[in-house]
Amino acid sequence: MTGNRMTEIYKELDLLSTELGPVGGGPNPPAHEDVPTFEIDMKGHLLKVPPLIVEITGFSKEELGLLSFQNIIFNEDRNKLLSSMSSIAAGAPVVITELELFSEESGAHPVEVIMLPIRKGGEVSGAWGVIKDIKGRKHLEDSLLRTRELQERSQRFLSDFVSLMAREIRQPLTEMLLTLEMLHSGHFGDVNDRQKARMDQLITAVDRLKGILNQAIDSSKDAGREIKLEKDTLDLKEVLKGTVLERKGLLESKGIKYDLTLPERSVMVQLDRKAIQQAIGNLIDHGAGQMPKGGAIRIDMEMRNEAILVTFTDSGPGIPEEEVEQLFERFHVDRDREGGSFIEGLSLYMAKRIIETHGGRIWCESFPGLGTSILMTLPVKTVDQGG
Amino acid sequence: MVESIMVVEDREPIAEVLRDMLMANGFSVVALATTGKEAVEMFTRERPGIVIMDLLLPDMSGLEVTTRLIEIDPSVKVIAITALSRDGLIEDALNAGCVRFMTKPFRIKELVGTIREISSP
Repeated sequence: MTGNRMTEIYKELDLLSTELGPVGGGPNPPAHEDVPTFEIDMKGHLLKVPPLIVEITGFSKEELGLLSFQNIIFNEDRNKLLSSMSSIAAGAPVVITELELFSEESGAHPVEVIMLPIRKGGEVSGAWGVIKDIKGRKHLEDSLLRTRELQERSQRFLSDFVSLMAREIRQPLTEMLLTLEMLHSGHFGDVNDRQKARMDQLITAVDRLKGILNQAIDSSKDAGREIKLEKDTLDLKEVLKGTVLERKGLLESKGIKYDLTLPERSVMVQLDRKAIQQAIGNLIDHGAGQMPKGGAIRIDMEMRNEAILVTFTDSGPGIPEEEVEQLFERFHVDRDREGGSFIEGLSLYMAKRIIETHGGRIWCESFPGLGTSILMTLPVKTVDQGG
Repeated sequence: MVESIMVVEDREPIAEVLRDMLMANGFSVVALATTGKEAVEMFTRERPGIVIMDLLLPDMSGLEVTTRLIEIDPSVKVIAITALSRDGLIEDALNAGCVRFMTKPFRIKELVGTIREISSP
């Protein structure tokens, strides 16, 4: 049971005690008829029947008066009721349980029963309390559960599919790579320098394919995995600077200049270093992917009230408005751009999940023809005043 | 002493290129098996010091074969090679007794380096 639900129940108990006097081992049920409470004896016979039970079961008050609580619930729930009654008999001040009542209309109707002891001469002689209709809540909980199961199933399917595909591709790649290397070494006859150079290119291509496969496998597993953070209070400025430096070689090799503007002071943020490095790295890679023929990336970091705003702006061709909306969706692929890949799509989806798990936000602003900015905020713990 | 090696790999083109590559690098390939059953038979007969074991074989798993080979000769060193990517596979391979684990595709120098690393001095 969730904490919120418990809070609700305590509120209900408070309300009962205000209306009916203190509950929980003290007084017995109210005498007046219009309060929708129920009463049962220790054998479960219904001594007082609230309108909700009449409404759900379709039995009249008189008919219900001849029955016990056990008669109007499903067999599977009888042990639950017996155990609740045993707790009441043993002195529990309040017992809360969920049961399914027979319903004329729907077969089974879920209710929540809040039960308190009735005392006579110091002995517990029965129980009283309220019955609450939770059909709507149950329905919602069931839908959520089903949605979650469906998500997990599709996630497993995706991960299995990618692994299977990788397995089938890795076999011929192994044959190609080893054969190419043997050819290159002259095992099958003399090879001239020009042929060797072409073979080197092919070997590099196979290596790249291997990297893509590994990334696809990792990403398909990561995408469904719950992100578990191990947070420390760290200077985001240093984390950002470090991650950009790690990408320096890659950016330079693609003819991309970068410009990093950081605040003078330290910006202490509660964060998981590895996760944030992954998110920042993915954003830089996305920017670089927008400029296959070179360009510039500007990274600005500035304070905005209680949050820090980091903006990654590239000088690429920009992203059409309809694409911007789907940019952070899992497996979004920019279909018009040659370099677009589903791994890239996953990387933005992962960045969004990481930033949001840190309590931050991420969004994109793009101006076709001028470039794209991806902006992210993170809540700041303190800003070091010392500089 | 030249290290004697058995290659267990069900895909013949890969098995053959592995054999050629190992021989070109000065190793002695004493057996080439394409099934688990064949691997056990050839191992019993040839007793190689090192086995390069594909984990996915048509009749049994490479890990099962590894266990059987170690029962026959506890001193054998098995290098697992695989195209699989299941979580926990590396741990399973090491628990079965494999001394190294390599994911396909790998470069010649990686496999040769691994064999030299585990070879008897």
